[in-house]
Amino acid sequence: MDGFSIKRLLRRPWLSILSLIIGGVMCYFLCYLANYRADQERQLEDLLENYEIQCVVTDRKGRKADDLRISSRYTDFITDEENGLGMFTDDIRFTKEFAASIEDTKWDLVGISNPNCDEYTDERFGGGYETEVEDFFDSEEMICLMSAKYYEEYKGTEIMLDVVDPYGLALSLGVGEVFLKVEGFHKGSDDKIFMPYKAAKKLCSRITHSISTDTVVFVLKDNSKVDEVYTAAETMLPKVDPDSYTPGYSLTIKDQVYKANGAKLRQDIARTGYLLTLISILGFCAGFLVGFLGTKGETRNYALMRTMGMRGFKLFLTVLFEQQILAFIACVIVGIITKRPLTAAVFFVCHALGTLIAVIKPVSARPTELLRDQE
Amino acid sequence: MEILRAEDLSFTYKNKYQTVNAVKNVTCGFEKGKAYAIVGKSGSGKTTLLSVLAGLEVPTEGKVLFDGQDLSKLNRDTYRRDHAAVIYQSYNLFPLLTVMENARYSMRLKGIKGEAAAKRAEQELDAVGIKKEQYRRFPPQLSGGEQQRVAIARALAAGNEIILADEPTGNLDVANSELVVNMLLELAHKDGRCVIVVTHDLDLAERMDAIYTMCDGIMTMENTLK
Repeated sequence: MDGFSIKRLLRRPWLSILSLIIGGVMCYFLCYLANYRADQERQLEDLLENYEIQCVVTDRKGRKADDLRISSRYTDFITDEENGLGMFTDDIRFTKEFAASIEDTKWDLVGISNPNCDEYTDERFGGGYETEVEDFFDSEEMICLMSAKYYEEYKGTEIMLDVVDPYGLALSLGVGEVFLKVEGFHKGSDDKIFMPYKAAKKLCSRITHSISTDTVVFVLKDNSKVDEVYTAAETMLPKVDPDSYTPGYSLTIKDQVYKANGAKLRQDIARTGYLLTLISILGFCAGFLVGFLGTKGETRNYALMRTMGMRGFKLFLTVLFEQQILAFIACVIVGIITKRPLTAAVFFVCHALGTLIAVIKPVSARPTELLRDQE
Repeated sequence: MEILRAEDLSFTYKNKYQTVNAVKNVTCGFEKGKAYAIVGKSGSGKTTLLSVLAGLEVPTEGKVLFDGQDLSKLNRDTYRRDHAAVIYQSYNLFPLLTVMENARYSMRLKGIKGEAAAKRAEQELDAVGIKKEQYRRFPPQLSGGEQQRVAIARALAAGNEIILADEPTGNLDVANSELVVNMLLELAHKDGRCVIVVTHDLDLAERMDAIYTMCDGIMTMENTLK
């Protein structure tokens, strides 16, 4: 390259600053948008993979999600991988509630299938539990968790509870005396005792042939299969019908937020894509402008260089270098700052193409025009 | 010995509206160590002839021989860089380069840089009467005569054996014109270069070793005065 190119650049400071600023600002904006788009795509990916679409079994009208007294026919359907919803479900939460008492003290005895069933045992909501029993919630043993307040008093001992099914048709038919070994504590209310759901099912069998469950909640394994879940559930758990008077249960899939967020993210990503394309085109135009302004009035000088023996292609490269070196520096800096070197490179290519188009005519000036102009 | 020769040279300008035979069947030779003038009215074809001799245009017919070789078979960019230098009526210095940088430019194209280039440029600038304190000035800060001298220095610094000048004194006053003409004659007679000057000025022409007269594209006369 012509060694005087840098000197020529420095001796046209305003044009050079303009070139640097235009290139730098536009490149920065492009990289910023690219980062934004990448972030949106990450969020979408995270949504698709990690968002938990909760599915709740309710009554047919969709008004009640607890105290449902669902028989095992439905709970088995939910866990059945071959003929039910088992292949679609994850983190299934069953609960069964009883009313219990020790002497005159009333307790809520709740059977839960995993700690996420109740806010007192769910760490996500400030709850928690501690026990030395592995897989406590999957156990069929008669064990329980008391509140921290009572744990110190009863730990390791067996407590005897007088248990009643609170919503049974025959309230006077209690479950009877139940002995539970205190194996840990929870961080919730003092009057709650938690036991494994499978053990609670055994208690139910004392009073009814069909095991009943009070709440059923699960999460979808694959968020993309919502429609398949509705289809698979249709026979046993149809969609909510507010006008229905038929007995039974429905499945509500809470995917509105998931769908809305997904749609919004996809829209954002598409919009950002259009903006990226637009800025690339503007980068081309900016390159053209820089090339046009940079070579304005230089045609005679380029023709002079040709008369002095500079080859046409070398002249073209020299002029292109002069017009692009500052934009190149700006793009390198922006690429490093924004950590998007590839995007900065794409912008630079668009910018350089614009300049290339702009400089073709000036550098093609015929040297003889210099002589002829004087005649 | 002839360093440059035009043989049956013709050049035609063509566009979609007209065809102009600017140079018609011109045959002439130019020797090293001599100064030549090409005179003629405006539109006689003398500048076109100069541009063909400088390798800026390809003749429509005929040929230009440089040192016995057909110029059409040589690289014209290399010919202009290494063998022929052009001096213009309107100086044509690079406005964004200093006097020294202008003088060094032709050497830079030949790959001569650094101390060697600086020394040679200084020699030539000194030879044309440009003072050291003017080296860092830009062309617009010089007078017409000074600019033309810098242009001559630039042509000389390249060391090319053929100097082609198109109306070199056209924009100069009498004193500066005299200076420039003397320089060109020195280049021919003392440096042994071949100097070809296109001019309207018959007084200038008569100081050259030979005059070629052009009229309507035809070389009508050749006067060898010395």
